[in-house]
Amino acid sequence: MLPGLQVFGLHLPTAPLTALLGGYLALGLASRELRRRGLSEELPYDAAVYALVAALLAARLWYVGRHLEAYLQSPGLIVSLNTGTLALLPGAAAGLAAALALSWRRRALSWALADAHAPALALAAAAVSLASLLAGTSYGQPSQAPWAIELWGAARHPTQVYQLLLDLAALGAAYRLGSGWPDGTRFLVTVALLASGRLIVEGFLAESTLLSGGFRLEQLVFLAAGLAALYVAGRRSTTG
Amino acid sequence: MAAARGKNLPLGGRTAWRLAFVGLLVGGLAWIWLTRQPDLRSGDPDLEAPQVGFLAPELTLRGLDGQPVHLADHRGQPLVLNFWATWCPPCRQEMPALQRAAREHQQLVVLGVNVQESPAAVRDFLDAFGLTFPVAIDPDGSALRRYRVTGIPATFFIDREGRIQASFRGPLDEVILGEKLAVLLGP
Repeated sequence: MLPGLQVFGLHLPTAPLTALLGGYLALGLASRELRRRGLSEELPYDAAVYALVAALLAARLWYVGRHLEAYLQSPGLIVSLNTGTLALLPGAAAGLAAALALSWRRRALSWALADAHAPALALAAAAVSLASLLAGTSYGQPSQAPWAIELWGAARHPTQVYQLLLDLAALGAAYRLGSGWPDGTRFLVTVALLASGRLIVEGFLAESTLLSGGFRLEQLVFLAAGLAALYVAGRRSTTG
Repeated sequence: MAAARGKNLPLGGRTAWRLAFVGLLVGGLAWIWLTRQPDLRSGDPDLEAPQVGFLAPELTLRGLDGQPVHLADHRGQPLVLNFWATWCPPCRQEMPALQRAAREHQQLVVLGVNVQESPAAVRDFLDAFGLTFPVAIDPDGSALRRYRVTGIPATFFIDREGRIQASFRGPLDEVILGEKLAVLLGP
């Protein structure tokens, strides 16, 4: 775990920097895949800018809308740089919608486009897992396994390492699924593998959102995502 | 399209996809069942953990005068426990809001936990910012680890019974602080 580095008196948070670097590398990977397929290699970068702006706007506006009374008293805070006042899920949804809208406007929205992004998606997921390892978040339950790591005062399952390995396996699979498959298969199988990996690792986590009976909400979400991806992939492969 | 459908899973066609789907469904449900967690909140109300709903883990810190400061000393009062450092810009940003909250809510205790800095540096900072709420020092980072704080600032809102009612990672502003204090103090 290495949450921060002090460089010349400046505190550098390693986790967000790793995630940012991973995102940048993922964009480069997607761009390269698109070039290989004869598609617009600029699209991932343009879409990232649109997505970022839309995500930030939506995340802040959603949060402001939820606490309108307080913001009316201090309207200057609407443009505050505080990342804690961002509604993450609405922001992510808006970002995705903006990227899809741009792709659609450029007549590029297709399963081939999704396939080109499959390795980038797995690489970005791996970067997030590495960031978790550096920050010590998403930590595992106490364990006596020989490979347990010391974290937060106990020997624990190295869940971030499990996740990283499974993400890298998904990245390998995304590359292995070469040509000859119906468009969309590579992307959907990658999504199914990433979701399955998270379903597995979630079972080792020390903290989850618990439903009644002790079931973990995130596992159900990942199972549903994996099944949906496999179902669509199967349908596309076996029907005309 | 026909060429695009020329390849399929090793077992071939629909059967392989169905097997993969059913395998994930059955295996996934079995794994979810095997790894379910008993809800600790209902199981043990006296369990200490740095999570909402659990008792706040006990801390022994050092006051700026070198005297020990125990979290348990504040049991019976609503408490805002804020981890910070002078070199952290977001921490500096949230200080006015914390100071205002401490001044406006007489029954509330705001306790700053400075992370691994010298009492002299902390005193200078408090003077420069006009901060009057109590601050203790976590000299070896053990309080930080106890509360599983991975980045500062981080704030915990602890009720009179010593139970964590809310927490927040990142800099507080008036809006967030008001929202969290409403949870802690009631409307």
